[in-house]
Amino acid sequence: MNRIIVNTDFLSGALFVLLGGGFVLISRNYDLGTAVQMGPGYFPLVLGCCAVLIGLALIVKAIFASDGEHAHFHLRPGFFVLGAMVVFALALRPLGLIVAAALTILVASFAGSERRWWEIALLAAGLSIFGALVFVEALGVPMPIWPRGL
Amino acid sequence: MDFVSNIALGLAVAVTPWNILYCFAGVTLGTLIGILPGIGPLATMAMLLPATYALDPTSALIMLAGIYYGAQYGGSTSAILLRLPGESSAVVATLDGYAMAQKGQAGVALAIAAIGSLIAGTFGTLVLAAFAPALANFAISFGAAEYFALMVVGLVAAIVLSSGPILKSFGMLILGLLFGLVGADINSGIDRFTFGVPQLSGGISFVVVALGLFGITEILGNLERSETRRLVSARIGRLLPRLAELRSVMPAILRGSGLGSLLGILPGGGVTMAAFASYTMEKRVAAQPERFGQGAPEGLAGPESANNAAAQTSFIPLLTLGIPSNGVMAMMMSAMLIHNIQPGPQIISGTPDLFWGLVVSMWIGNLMLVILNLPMIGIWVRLLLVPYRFLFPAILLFCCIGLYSVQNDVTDIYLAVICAALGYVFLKLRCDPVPLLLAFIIGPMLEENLRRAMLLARGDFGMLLTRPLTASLLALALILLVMAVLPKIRRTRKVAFQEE
Repeated sequence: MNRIIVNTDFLSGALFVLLGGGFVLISRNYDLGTAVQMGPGYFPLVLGCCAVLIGLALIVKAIFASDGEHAHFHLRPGFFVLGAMVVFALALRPLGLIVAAALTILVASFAGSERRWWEIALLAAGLSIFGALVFVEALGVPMPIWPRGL
Repeated sequence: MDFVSNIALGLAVAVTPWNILYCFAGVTLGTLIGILPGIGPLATMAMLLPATYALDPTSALIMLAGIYYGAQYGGSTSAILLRLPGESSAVVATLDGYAMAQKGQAGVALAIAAIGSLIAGTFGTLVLAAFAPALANFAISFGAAEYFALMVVGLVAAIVLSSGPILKSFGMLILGLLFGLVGADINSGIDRFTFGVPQLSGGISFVVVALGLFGITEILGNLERSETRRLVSARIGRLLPRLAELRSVMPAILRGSGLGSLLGILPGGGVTMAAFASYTMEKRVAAQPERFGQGAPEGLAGPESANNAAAQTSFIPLLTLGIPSNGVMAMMMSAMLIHNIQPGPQIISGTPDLFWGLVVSMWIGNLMLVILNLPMIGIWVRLLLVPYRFLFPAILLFCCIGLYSVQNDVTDIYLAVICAALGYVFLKLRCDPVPLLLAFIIGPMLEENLRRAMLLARGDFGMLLTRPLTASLLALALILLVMAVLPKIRRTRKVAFQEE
């Protein structure tokens, strides 16, 4: 089972409280100023408090309302899709676009429900060459194509 | 005549070989990506946004507008042929459009949608050209207090008219404002919420937020659904509608154009609302309403025209007041800001070539959709059959390259990963990310204008309310908010968006 089930109102409330609270905490380090001369901390502090209040209201609503909706999280696609992006970012500078792109395709392919190895190999080869030709050669995006030191 | 000379100026700018080429490239690329099932105009624009950064401002905006129309048309195509709408405004096209395709009239359905869009686009462009200068003239005298109030109204109206639950949308709005504040504070120069990351002191880049929340999140959402894609039939049928067919849908197209132009000016879900409202209206005026849902051409022509007219007129608030009314306009605005153009009333008088060039190119883009894309429908259909397991790695890779290319740095990729994770959670929690995107781009200006207004009012918030325009705008925001919370309106809102 890689699914987590939770009430949407409750969780969004918690998320707003968490994020809003974070902004409130950090903005206390900045100068608050006055209403006339607002400092850098004034606006975020007010907004952060709003977010916390809205979050609390949602949590209360979730506790008292009976008709809550439940969210189903699938972890597999998220893990591999986001993982593929991280792999790209990590691999690009040392290994160059061709290798980074191929690795990205490989990792991303695990996010889907079915995969065939020859398809992945073909896709990785085709897309990395296409990417190098179109983005680096034609559009001039300054990124390394081959591994460093090659 | 003023109007004629303005259009002539626009033609001179838009009908240069390069700008026509960019317009064509935008429309084609937009259709290409927008036609892929489950990818809407917002995601398409987010993906292609980095590609426009290198162009000069006018060309970039022309191309981006082309991408928008192309993506919207592509979305209608997959809605008609596959019953898979790329975005909420194309949902209506799945009703009668798909039914027509099932009856073997896919070609006629696609042609009616395209012709309706062109007529509505023409109408919307004329409305834009006629009313925008007047509105801009009115707004050019606005002070900081008026701007602050105007932005508040815009944001509030956007959440009231959007589809999500009010409380969540409001929360998303606040989060968007907060995310917009990340980076160096303009007045004091202090880095806020950057966690010591130097790349953040310029603020989170718009592409990161847009791609993370819309592009990547859509991939994640699509991967959860099992792949069941079947074209209604391999045959598209004849493309050209008969004259009698065209005549019978013409009233629906005209009604849709009018309704769409009107609703498009409103902040919030202008385009989606226009499509739904037009469908309801067509059903009401029809002699045999029971034909709707069974492949009634009016049920396709009306909404398709309405959403295109609304797409045109939704440029009005952005180009005259500097307020983006929906996610797509937030994209346009970010493209302007990247090129150091401040959207607002001074655009028309300050850079008339940009404004009128854009207006005319919108119309050219609509024309290109009909005369170039319709004959290419065979190619598009084949694209619809490419399995998703080939598409999403490619989209993902291009997103990564695009993210890198904005600042030639991998930091933006990591930030986009965070945004995408958040976006996925928002998707699951049914929190509409559009208010967040709107607030994200407006946030810094809202703070700036509030600070300036408060300085002028000597810190007395009541002083803001003594300015008649500011007071009435803020009152309007309050009324909208109260109305949205009232039970009766809430129910109507639910009904209006139930088909999403």
